[in-house]
Amino acid sequence: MKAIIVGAVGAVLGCALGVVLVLLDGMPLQASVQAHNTDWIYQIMLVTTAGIFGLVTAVLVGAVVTFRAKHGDMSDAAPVHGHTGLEIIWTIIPTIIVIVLTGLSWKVLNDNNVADAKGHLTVSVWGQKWDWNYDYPTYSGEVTGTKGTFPYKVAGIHELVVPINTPIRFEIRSRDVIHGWWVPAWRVQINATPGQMNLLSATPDRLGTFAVVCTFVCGDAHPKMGTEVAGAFPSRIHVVTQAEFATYIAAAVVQAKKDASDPDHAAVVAFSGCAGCHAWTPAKAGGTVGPSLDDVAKDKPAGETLEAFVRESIVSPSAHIATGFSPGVMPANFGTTLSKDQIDALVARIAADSKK
Amino acid sequence: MSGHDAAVGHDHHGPAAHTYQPYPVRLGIVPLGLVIFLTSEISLFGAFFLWYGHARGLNNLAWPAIGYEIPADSTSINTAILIASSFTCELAFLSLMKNRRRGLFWWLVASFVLGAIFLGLQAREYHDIGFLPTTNAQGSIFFSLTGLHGAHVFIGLTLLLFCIIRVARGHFTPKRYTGLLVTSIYWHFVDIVWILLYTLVYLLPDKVA
Amino acid sequence: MRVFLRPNLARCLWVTPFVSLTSMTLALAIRKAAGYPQLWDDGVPQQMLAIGYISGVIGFLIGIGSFDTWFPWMIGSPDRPDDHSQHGAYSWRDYFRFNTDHKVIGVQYVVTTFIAFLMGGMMAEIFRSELAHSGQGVIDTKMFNGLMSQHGTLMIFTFLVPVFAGIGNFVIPLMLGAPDMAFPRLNALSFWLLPLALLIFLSSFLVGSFEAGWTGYPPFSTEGPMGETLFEIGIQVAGASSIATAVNFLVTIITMRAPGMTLFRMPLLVWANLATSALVVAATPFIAGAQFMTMFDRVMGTKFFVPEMGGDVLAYQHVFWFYSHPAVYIMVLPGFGIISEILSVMSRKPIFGYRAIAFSSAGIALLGFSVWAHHMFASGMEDWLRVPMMISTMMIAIPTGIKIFSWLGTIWQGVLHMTTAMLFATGFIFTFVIGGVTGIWLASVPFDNHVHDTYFVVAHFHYVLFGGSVMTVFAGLYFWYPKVTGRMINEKLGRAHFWTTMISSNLVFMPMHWLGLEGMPRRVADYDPQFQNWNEVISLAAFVLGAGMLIFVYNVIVSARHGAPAGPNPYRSLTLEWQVSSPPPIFNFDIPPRVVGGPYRYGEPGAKHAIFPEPSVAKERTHA
Repeated sequence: MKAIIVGAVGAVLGCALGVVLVLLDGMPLQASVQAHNTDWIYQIMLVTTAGIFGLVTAVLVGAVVTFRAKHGDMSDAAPVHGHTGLEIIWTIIPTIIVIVLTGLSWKVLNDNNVADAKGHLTVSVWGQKWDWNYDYPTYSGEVTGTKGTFPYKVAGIHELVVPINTPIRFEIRSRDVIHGWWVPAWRVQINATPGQMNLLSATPDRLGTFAVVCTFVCGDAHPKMGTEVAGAFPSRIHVVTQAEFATYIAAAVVQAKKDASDPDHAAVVAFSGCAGCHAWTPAKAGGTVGPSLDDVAKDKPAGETLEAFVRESIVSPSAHIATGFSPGVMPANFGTTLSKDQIDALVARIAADSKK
Repeated sequence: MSGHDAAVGHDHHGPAAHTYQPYPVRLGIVPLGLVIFLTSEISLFGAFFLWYGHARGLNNLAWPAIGYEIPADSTSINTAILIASSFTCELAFLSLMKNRRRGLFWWLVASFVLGAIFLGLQAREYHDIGFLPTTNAQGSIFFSLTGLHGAHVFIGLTLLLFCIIRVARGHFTPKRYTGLLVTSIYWHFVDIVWILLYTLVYLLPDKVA
Repeated sequence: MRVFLRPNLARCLWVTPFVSLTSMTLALAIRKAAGYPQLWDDGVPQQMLAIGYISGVIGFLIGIGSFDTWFPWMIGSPDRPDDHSQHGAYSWRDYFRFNTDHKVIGVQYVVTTFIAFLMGGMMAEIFRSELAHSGQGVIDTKMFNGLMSQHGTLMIFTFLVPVFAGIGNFVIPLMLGAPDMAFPRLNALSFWLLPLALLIFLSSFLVGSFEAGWTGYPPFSTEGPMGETLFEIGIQVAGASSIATAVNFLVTIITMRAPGMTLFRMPLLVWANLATSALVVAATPFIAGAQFMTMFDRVMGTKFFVPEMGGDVLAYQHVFWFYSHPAVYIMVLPGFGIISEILSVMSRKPIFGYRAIAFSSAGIALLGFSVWAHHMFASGMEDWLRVPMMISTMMIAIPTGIKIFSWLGTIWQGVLHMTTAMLFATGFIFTFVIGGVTGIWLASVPFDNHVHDTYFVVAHFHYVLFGGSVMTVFAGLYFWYPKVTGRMINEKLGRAHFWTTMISSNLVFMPMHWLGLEGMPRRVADYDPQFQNWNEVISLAAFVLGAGMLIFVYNVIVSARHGAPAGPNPYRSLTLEWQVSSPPPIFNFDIPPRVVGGPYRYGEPGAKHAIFPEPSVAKERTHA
């Protein structure tokens, strides 16, 4: 009987501790419908299980304090081998608790999924070493100009603009290894797994700029991928009003179409793969993992044309290492992931800019 | 199988520990150990089958790879040979029980030869199949599964060879046969795995086809 | 010179390189004979490394003498009666050779795993000093990734999994009333694989340490430096070791029990080990399979994880976690058994609900196979698998809860002797409950989708594996120390060790929860400055935690010499291992015991677990 009283007191104290922890709120800012849902289930679980924790701790400490043997006490306790009723109770009550928690979690899981909600916006996300690229498949297409037909897409390098209060369906893929795409303020995360498309959805309900964090170890610059650590190129999501988004996307489509008919377009698109690590003024990129591309000429070995050097540095990056940087950092597969046209355009543009 | 049989391995194995069998058991410790180990072997095949099942069932891996063929028909001969060798192995065991030494020896030799023919035919199939482990993922898993099984056949053949040598030296009696029992259990296991493997890898048609 | 021919470490010195180099030469010769255009293309060093290491392992085993009796036996050479020259320890040298005595092997295991534990801990101290401050400091990202991966690998594969095999090795045959394990030579062989695995993991620093964590997910692991191949080989070696031990435990527990030792008279540690061994046997080959695939991709150029060629990256995670989740239970279930032993003896009270605890071990082992994909909620796994996995993961809390409540029932109204072992046992309940409840949270898919692969997960599994398993390891070591050495361990130092460990470990792992919730991902060498404060606390506490381990090491060494003589049964325990001298005789029981009742009959006047029948009858049986 005493044990039950101690346990009950402990459970109440534990729940109180849980409530305090909820009030202290360790979670980041809530910025999406999913964040509200997830925090709700989190708080329920926190308070419930803190009660269990309190119960166990109270009985444990109570027993150690109360039943401690006096010095030299060699007696044995009463031989109690068990209590069927008690054992049934502590099987059934936890069972009920976990069934309830499972049911609530399931509900939240379903509520959180808005990938197929009405009026959703689709964004495709590409993870690569060590950057996130975005584009809007809805706002991509083909444009026919005087020089022929070109595909265009509204793409963002490490920055994404989305409208508020709109269900967004993220289609996440990877170009090299596994990355993890996490928006802490939205409470949503999924891996970018090579060879498959993973789905994630969120409905942002707060304006502002939010960090994207890579959660999966992916190589040398993994800590810099997305987070705001020193020397990194932060990856952010800007949530804007629906009107602002409409304006933004209309302008972006016009720009994308214009870019598409521009001969430099291929270079700019291809450069999206470089922006995470390299600085390059024409694309407003400022990465510091690799050398800046604004003055590639300074690292060029004598007796080689600038074009040949730039091409070599893209296709087999370890052939010549710029001073102050380590070999093996830049992925060696751009020769296969970029098309020949893209490489040609990139080489021409980077070399031309550097000569200015 | 009796507790007595469990003591058989000990004359070879040695330590006094083994002669200490206070608690009567139905299965001798060596065969019991082997059977437990074989569950582990099933899991090892299971790991590759899990990859295979995931890739084909959930990741829609084309099977076989487009433009390649898996020779289910000609491999049925291999299958028949391996199943036959299981029977000859069991006949060897029956001969031992009836104390027919010649029968024991020659049925074991027959099992060994059939197993060796199986391996030879597998090697020939590898040569003729037209793709390599490095060609594509289908090739990787095909060669891994059949290769893993082939390695087990090879181990089984080694065990059979040991048994043949020991029979020639006059070992095994109707009451002392742990080594032979272990070998035959292993050999049947190899056979059963092959039947599963043949069904799933060679016979299971592609969804698309 | 004869020393180089007898089975021992000296023979390993030349056999290992000999076998290794011969195999590599042979492989190169085959390459040349097969007409490969280039003898040394890109993949060849990788292949030679793999061949050299794998054959080196076999060479070492030959050198140490693992096969000295098996080879002649296999080809049917005339029987040689065993002279037991490989059995038992008569001097310290006997601990450095192929010894078939389960007690020697137990000590070898525990010492080896402890070396691995200290090394793994040291690596953690190094990268904690890097993480003490935001920004690049002591080590670079490559080094960090290497140390972080090594830390996890050593702690899991060469410490937590095998340390319980070590404790079980020493204790279980004694508890069962058996003279040794069922397969003593296999037992010695499984031990000697372990230091090899440790060396293989460590040597990967020389060729570029593996960076993909202990999980080794492709394609990051398949494109990593050569150390990754050594990681894959090391896992195979450690895995082979644990499978062989588990087979041995299962056969021992099934067949070697003393007369009268029915299943429900077995001590609960034996039950826990039965469940664990079943898990090991059935699950470990899956990680072997997963590592074979990644190794083939690296060494032979197969395409298991190359999506463009039909490869399936996600399948690796399924295969991997099909082992690695049960592995968590492999790492805690024996600990549960240890706790059950200690709580009952130290409370002078029968264990509360013996059958419930025994069956909950079996229940955890069975359920353990149906929860693997909860590690993959955020990996883009098949959607329909999420909810079933969430349900089964939540369900596993029930048998675990039964255990915890039964332990509380055991100590309630007991006569508690708060020895160091008991302190660790009760401390374990406290910390393990924290790890348990965060486990329930993580089972919830929406919550997991927020904190997956963050410091929250790091906090959770350190509470389970440090607050859970490591605490039980210490409890067990303090508890059985008098049995192993014949001397009592210094309680004062033991208590100092307990309190430093308890306080500093909570300071290390508790703040990690908040970091994870706030947004700090795991496995990063550098982090956002906003997380600076908690990381400073964590690093500082980690150094205290590490220093606390030194107290333990000192205590173990000094008490072995200067401790008070323990006598056979200092705790007045009923189980069989305490009914023989400390340390136990070379063949355990001079008189084989007869079990007449349950193992925890404290408080029943005159109750006995086992009796020792007339010596004259017994002698005949032992030396028959």
